[in-house]
Amino acid sequence: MHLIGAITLDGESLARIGWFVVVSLLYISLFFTLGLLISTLTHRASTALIVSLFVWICWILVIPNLAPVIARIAYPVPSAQKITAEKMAVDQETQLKLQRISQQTLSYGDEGRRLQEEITQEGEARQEKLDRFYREEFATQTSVSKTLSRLSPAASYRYATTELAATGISSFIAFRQAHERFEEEFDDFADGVNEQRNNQGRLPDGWYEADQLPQFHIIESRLDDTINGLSIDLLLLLVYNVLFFMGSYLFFLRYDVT
Amino acid sequence: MLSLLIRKELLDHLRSLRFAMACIICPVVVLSSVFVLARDFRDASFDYRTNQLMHADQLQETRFPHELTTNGVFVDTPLNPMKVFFSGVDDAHTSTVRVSAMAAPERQANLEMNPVSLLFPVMDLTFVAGIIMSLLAIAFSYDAFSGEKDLGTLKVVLSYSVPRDLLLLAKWIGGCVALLTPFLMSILLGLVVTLLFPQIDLRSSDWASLGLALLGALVYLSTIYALGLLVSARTHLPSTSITVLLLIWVVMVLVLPNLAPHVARIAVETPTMQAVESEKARLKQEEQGKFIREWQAYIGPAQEADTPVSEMVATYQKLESAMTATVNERRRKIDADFQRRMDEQIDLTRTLAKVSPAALFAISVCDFAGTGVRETSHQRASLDRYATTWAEYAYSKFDPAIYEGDAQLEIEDYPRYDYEQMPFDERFAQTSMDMLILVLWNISFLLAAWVSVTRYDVQ
Repeated sequence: MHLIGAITLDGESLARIGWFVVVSLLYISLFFTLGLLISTLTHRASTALIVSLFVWICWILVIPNLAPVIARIAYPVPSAQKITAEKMAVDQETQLKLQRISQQTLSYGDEGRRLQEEITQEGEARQEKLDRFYREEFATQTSVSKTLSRLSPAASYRYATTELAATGISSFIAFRQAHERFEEEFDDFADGVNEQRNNQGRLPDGWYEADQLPQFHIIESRLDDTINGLSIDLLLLLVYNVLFFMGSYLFFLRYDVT
Repeated sequence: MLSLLIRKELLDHLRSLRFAMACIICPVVVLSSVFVLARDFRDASFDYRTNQLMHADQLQETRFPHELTTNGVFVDTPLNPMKVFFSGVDDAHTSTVRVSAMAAPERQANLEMNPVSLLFPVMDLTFVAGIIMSLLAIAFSYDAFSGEKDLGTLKVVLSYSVPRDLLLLAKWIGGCVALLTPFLMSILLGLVVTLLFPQIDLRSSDWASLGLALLGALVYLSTIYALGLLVSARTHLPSTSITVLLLIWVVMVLVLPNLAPHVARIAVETPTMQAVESEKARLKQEEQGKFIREWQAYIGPAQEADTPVSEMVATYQKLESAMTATVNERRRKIDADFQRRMDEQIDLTRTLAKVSPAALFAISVCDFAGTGVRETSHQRASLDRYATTWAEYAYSKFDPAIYEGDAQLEIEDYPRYDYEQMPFDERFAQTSMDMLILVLWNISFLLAAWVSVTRYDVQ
């Protein structure tokens, strides 16, 4: 791919590929040692094979797929629709309060303006609180899902490799955050333009400068941060390797070879 | 004789470790899958109702007719209870689509999801039968002949006057019954689980689809079992059988189904979605620019000449609807061209997938269940039709009195998006050929196994 020019591999990419090979070797050797362990525990090849198949199905297919589900049941997060509906309710309540204020004589003068501002700010604060609550609950659920799924080495391997390739959960979260940031910045920019037009009656010449537009920017993590982030997965793969090897050694010592 | 052989085969399996494993794996996997997807369905039905109310409220806030054409309306795709069993091409139970006169129906992206679920999606019955059960089918069948030869029991059995074809048939029937019993029992338990969720309302056509999809699963698993018998009858050691079978399984279940779309993409080149979208955006921008220039050329002098608002609104409506018509016509042409090439690619993928019973099974079962590629195309066509209806409705609402403040926009009569799923008969007609090919695979493997068994050296 590099030679035909489809992709350009710099030093960091090569280092990432190197790490990917290391993680893959750890993962493969884990299954090798697991096979050894099962073989030392059984006396017939067919039994060893069936047990290996059973372990593989449960450990590699079932556990990682069940982890997000268990996390969802244990830490339920209200749906985005529910949060949006609640925010809309807050918005309607704020509008009602503002209407009530504007109908009263208080709305004339500084006191009225101060009250209106307070109500608006209170509404915004409540909406922000809802957003924060949603984000925090979501982060907890994601973290629990990750922890539970790590019971399977397939999850550790997938987290490690996708993080190294910058296509994993961190990248997804970084994209989501960049999207939110961009949305806010763009809204501010559009509000500014609208305000300018409302104040001056029309937009001044040269109001639009392409380089003043907010930029969509994803914060990518550096290799050392990525390695730090996946140290737990690397450690788990290593621990499984050591445990299985030790187990096979112990059982082999007691193995009846007759 | 046959019943005796089947009984012997069945008892052998029932007393084996693999049957015990199957009895643990099947209920765990099937029940967890159905339970999880049923819960998701329940949550999605709540979201669907909330979304419908929210979008109806949003629409009621529309004050001017041009908002109907530009902002459009948000519609929600209805839920399909069959997704509880077969997720199909789209994991989401429901989605929100923006329909306007200005652009093609646009599905709203949902970034609010647990990212771990993206890496480990929920298993549905397609996955359970296609991957897990097929592996169990191999585990049940790999030593049918080679294993018995290794143990010496095959020689003993054949020393009696047992016809080899009957032995093969007995092994196939007995093995399939032993393999499918835990699977079917688990499905029955799964159906009981769905009763706990009153939101899952299966209609008669759904039951028929489910029945056919399950029949497809049974045909598929018996095909894999027949393949196991074939390989076992071609080899002399169980270790060789299992190695060959695992190799075939990897190619058939993992490699070929994933390779087919890529081969089709190379064979039938289709422009990327980005290229199509940027082409559509370019022509929209071009036509909008033309519209704005024409409108600006008109509105300035018209305001100076004190033209009545009714006339200005009529001109606006005329110019904008002309622009929309041009944009939509050109957009449809681009879409139709893209869709034609995409359909060619999909057809080729389906043809290539026929090489692998696993791919054939996955595609046909999802089509039976109404969650496959065909249903998605049907839904897209229905959304396109609704977009045309919506545009006509939106332009019919251009009333100058609304802009003059003498009247209010009345949109109680707006057209509702009422999606009708592809009828069962149509689904059945389109998918029956795939199922027939799967049956042919089954017969071919059995015939090949029969030829191999008749020549098998039992010494």
